[in-house]
Amino acid sequence: MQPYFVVCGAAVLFAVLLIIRIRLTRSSSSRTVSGIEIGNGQTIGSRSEQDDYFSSMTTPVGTLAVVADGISGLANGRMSSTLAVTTFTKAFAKLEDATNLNGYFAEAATQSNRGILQNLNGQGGGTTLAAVIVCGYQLYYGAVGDSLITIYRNGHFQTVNSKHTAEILLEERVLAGQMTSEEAKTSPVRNQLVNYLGYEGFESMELGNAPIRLYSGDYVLLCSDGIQEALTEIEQEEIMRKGGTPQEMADAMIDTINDKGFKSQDNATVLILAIG
Amino acid sequence: MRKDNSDFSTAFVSEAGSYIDNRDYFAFMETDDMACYVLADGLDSDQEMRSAEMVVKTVLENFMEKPSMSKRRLMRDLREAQEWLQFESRRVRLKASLLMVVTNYNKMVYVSCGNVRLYHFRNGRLNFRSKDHSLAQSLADDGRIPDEATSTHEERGNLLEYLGNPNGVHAHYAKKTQLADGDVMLLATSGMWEDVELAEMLGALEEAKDPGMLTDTLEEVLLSKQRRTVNNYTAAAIYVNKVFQEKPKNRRKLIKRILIALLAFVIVGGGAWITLARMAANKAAALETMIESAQAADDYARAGDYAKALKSYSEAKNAAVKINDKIHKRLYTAEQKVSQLMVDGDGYVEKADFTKAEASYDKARKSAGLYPPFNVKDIEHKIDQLDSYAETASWMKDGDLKFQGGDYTNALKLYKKANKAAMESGYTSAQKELEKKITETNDKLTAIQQQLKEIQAGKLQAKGDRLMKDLDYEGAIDAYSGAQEIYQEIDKLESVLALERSIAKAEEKQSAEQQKNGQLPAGLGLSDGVLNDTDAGDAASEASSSAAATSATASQAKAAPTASAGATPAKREASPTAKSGGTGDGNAASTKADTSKEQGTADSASKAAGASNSESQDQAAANGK
Repeated sequence: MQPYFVVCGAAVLFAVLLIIRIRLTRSSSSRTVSGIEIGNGQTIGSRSEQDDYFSSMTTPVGTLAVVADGISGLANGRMSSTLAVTTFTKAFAKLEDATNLNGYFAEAATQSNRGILQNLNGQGGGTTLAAVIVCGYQLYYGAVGDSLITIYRNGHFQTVNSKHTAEILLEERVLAGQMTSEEAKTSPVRNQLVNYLGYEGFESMELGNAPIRLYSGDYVLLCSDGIQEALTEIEQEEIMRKGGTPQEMADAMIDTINDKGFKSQDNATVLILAIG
Repeated sequence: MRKDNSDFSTAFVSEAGSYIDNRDYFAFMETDDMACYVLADGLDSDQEMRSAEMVVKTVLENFMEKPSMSKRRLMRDLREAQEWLQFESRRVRLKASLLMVVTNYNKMVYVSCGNVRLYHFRNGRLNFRSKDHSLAQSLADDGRIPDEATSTHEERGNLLEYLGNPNGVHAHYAKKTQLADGDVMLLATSGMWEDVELAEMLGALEEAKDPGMLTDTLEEVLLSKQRRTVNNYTAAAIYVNKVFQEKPKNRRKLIKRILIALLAFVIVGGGAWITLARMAANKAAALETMIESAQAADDYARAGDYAKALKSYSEAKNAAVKINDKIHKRLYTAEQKVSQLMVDGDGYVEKADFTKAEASYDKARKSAGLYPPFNVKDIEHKIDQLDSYAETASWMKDGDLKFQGGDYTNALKLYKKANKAAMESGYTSAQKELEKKITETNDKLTAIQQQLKEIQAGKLQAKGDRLMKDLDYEGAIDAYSGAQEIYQEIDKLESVLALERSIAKAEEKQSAEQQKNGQLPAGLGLSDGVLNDTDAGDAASEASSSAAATSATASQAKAAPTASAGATPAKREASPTAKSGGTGDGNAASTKADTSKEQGTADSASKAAGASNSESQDQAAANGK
């Protein structure tokens, strides 16, 4: 009789362990699913090549989403954006905890800038970059250039970062009394980037002082300037209000841009993170 | 002129900070009776449209049109501003926070939407502060963060309400606040209140003598912090140096108004109360009626008096309708229906339409099982009795036919038979009718009898009259007495009286005659009789010479058997007419007598025969024997 007991006991133990394992795996997977859902969309526009590059990844630390918009055309633009995004994702993959995410952003930015400069080898080029990490219900961000991070909440957008264009310098000159506000508003260099990755004078990227609190139902959007130029805020709102999955929303945005068919349509990339 | 009798002074500072554009906008307007101060903070980054300016101008324009402190009015102004923003949101969603303060120089109200703040200071202390529509504020309201932290909390700019919100505008309207001399109202956008703490504001307030000084000090404090970026900031201060003094209210007038209002209330309220009480009483009465009627109806239904039950159920139903008791209404309607069916059935029985009666009873029987007051056995019994009723009715009908045909005796028999059957089966309605018919038939029979007797009496009277004429007073008295007897029998008292007179007259004449005849020899009568005996015809011719002799002979002829021989030819002579009618016969005889008065006894004999008719013939024969 004794061996039967042993066999039965072992079988019961096996079954219990199996159930626990299934439960554990299910709960961890459901956490990912219910946590953040990601959608993305990209269009080459009327350009000859795609200089935008994006990536997203989820690790135990959190979810990273990066959008980079390469500058100056040709291979340099694509190289810069790809290198920057790859650097950010690789560094994120190595990250073990969320204690110093701003440090991570700064470090990855510096590293990317260095790498791009090395590859450019004196040639013109560079990339803008917008990166967010969603950790629980906290949003950390780093941005350089004119790619925008926005939060869609309760039917309207809140802009997270500012654009690093010559507008800031012009404003400073206006405030210093060196030029009038009218001159500043009509200046042709108004939209020129003053800070980007691959820039020799690059110091740091814009970082949030404190993480932004997210709420269930929020959407975090990362857009290259191709999106912002082609779609008005109202159009973006309408697309978001229609609802659906983040992928459907991103597709709708790209479709709308393609439908418009602007002659000088820039590369456009959008990443949408739905906070569950 | 409220403005002239108060003293409000205003000053403001509004700057772009470290930005090129100042998206804040402040404007105010002071009319004679009211003043309006509006501060807005543009929240969007549109290059062309200035949302703050747009909303402030819209609101002030509306205010100028019709100055008002009412919530409805101010909210409407805000909605218009919102609509304007939404209409202009073509490229960028235009948004703005707005604060609107309205005063009548004595009291103030404010409307706030977003995070532009109003600080109200009194005696150097904060009296109240408007609440932001931000997540930080709602956290503070929930007690999760201290109220002071709302100015620095990371969610202070996370607005839940603002103008231009596609989900609609939900502003906060604060009710009227009494202003006091020396009050200070400070309107500030987030650029100001985020960096200038309340303590610093109070410090500035302490030093500042006028609004200009206060706003300048606040600006100094803000700039002294030397932030790298300075947001657009605006501070507008209103110094309430003197509040407009309202005319003291007339106390008596107030009391009078209150009394009038009370009176009106008492009248209206009393009226309403009385109406309600009446309604309640009516309802109670209706309820009582319903219960009583239903009880009575049930009792009637149990007793089988369906007509009364029908009436009571109808009353109960009406009462149930009155008190809106649907359940009872349905119950009584159903019971009323059953009663109606029973009453209909009875009606058909009365009309002798037994097929319909059976159908009606049958319907009632089917429904009756559901309602306890109705006795199914009673209904079934009624159905069973319908056959015997039908038989009774057919007898009655036969009786009617006989009656119509004048066969009263047989009709009576049939009626009696039907009546017996009706009595046995409890066919009361038919029974009554039958009794009536029996009485009618009996009456008919009695009437016929009476008529017969009247004719008899008439005949006798006529006979009496004839005999009187013939001076046969004795015979006339007899005839009259006979007629009188008959009249007495049939209660024809007038005729009795008339006959009494006739008898009296006859007796009078008789006695007169007797007195006259008293002198004549008694033997003459005998000789006359002999004469009659021998030859009636000759005697008649001879008798004409003396009327007295004739009367004596007639009386003798009645008694003597010989007279029959003399009477026979007269009888024969009268017989053809006697067949056609007694009276005619009598008259004919009398005329005959008139024409041949000379015939005397023979005539009198024939008169006697004519008057007696067939019966009197027998009598005469008997007499003759």
